[in-house]
Amino acid sequence: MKIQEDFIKDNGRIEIISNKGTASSIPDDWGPILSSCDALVAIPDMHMYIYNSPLDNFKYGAEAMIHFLNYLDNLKEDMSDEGKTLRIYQIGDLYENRFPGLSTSRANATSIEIRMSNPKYDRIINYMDNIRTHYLYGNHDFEHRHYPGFRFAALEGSIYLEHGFTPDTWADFSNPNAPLWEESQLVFKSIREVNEFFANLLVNLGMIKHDENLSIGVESGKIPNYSPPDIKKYEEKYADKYIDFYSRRLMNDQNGLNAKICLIGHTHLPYLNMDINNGNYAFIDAGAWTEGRSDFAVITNEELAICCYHRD
Amino acid sequence: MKNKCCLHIIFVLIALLVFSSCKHYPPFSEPDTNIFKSKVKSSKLIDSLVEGKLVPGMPYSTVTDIFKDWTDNIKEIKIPVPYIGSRQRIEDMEGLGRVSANPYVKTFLDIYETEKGTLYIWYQNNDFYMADVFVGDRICIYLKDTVLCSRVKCLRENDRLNIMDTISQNLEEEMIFAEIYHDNNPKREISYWYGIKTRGNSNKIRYIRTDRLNYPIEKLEFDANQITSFQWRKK
Repeated sequence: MKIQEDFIKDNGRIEIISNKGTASSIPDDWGPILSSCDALVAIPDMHMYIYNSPLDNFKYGAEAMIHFLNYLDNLKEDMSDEGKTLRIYQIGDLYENRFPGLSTSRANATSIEIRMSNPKYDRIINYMDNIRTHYLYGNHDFEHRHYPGFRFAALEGSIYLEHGFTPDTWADFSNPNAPLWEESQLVFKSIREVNEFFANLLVNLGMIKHDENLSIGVESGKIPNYSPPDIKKYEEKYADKYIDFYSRRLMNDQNGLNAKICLIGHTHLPYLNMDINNGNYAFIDAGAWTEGRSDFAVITNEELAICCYHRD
Repeated sequence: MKNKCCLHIIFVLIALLVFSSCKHYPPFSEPDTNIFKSKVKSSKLIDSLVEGKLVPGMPYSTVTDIFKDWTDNIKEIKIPVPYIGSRQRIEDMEGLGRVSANPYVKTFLDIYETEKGTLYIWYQNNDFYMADVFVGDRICIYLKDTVLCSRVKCLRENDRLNIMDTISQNLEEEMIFAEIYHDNNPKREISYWYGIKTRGNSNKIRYIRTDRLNYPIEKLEFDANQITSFQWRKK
């Protein structure tokens, strides 16, 4: 199954952004890398938050996501008619549960109040359920680990999927399994409460518009970002952490997974490396669908690519 | 003179306190009948809307229209509850005060304090299993120009079923309205579906869950009593 001919077809809104706009070939000697499906789509971090909050930076990509999910639904039905299976994963940080909630106690936001904050968000979750999306949990929706259907990691044939927070240390404050994570999340939520207070104050005073970039440290997402992976930047920033960590895991194969490809999200930066350990493995970071980006990864038995979905 | 002045000030302060504690009940808004008719094809539900009555089966968008101008101090909405009729909010806690909610919750409750009492509205993100659809139930599908009535042949999944007859029209892009008559079900007479999809020349029906505006209202209570309708427009 070829990505351009059989997955993208004539959908002008899908653009391959990895490998200079061309799908990367899976080496023949890797064998069929998918065992129970014919194509796999991985949707990375979304960080859906309460829709009318100035801190929500997913909302500008919501319409594109609805359109994309509709497209996947039709494609899945078409493939099913041909006896083929399309499997969709959302690899964690679907919701932004670390920010303040709506309740008067100002506890963190729950998945339900985020989902129900706008019909578009409810539609997105329902569409994901309609196409039988498989879910992983990340550090921003870590609470989902209690519920069936949400996993820490998954193995699809020779592809290992994980959200990607495992190599983070306590100092990153983004690994729920590291010390001081609980305490740090309480502090960060308080910082966000102050952020939201001043943001709302500025909006109420008419000094800025409601959709301006008001969330400290993150882009608003109002301006779309379809840029290809910045390989150099990613390797400078993350070579010692994510690339090395997951590459060693693939090579050591302590759990006997026999995986050839590792796919993560978490960093919000797309990246693809087919040359791990002299071309024996591949590492993919599927990027993000938030802060203006609309990335996703597609893998078939023949090819793989990181794509973006245009807003129009 | 000074005492009279103080008394006057105290009286004004008390009056201000009394008036500020009185709740202001905004008027009910009218749903757009044309928009309602474009989504809802059931004559029974359309008649209820024309009469100014909110009834079970109507899409939740009717509720948001009627209570459009109501403020937060007289309403609490979108409360996740475990089942229809429950008033218990679902919420879990862990860690340092972190809260979470079961993402699979499908039933929600709105509470409105009206002048005459408290109105409770339950609505649900339905599927064929939850709605207790049986093989043999009658299903009427409102196509473009006709209504096709058939019977449920088999339940394939919670959102897919086959009917006895084939639909020849090509309706891939449309979301169709349908009614299912639960003929042998003592708990439910009829259910309404605001998102049926089918491909041409097929007897396969899918229910596409869209968003809460299309969740059907399942139950109404006023104070502690179940009601069959809520009259929002004065007769």
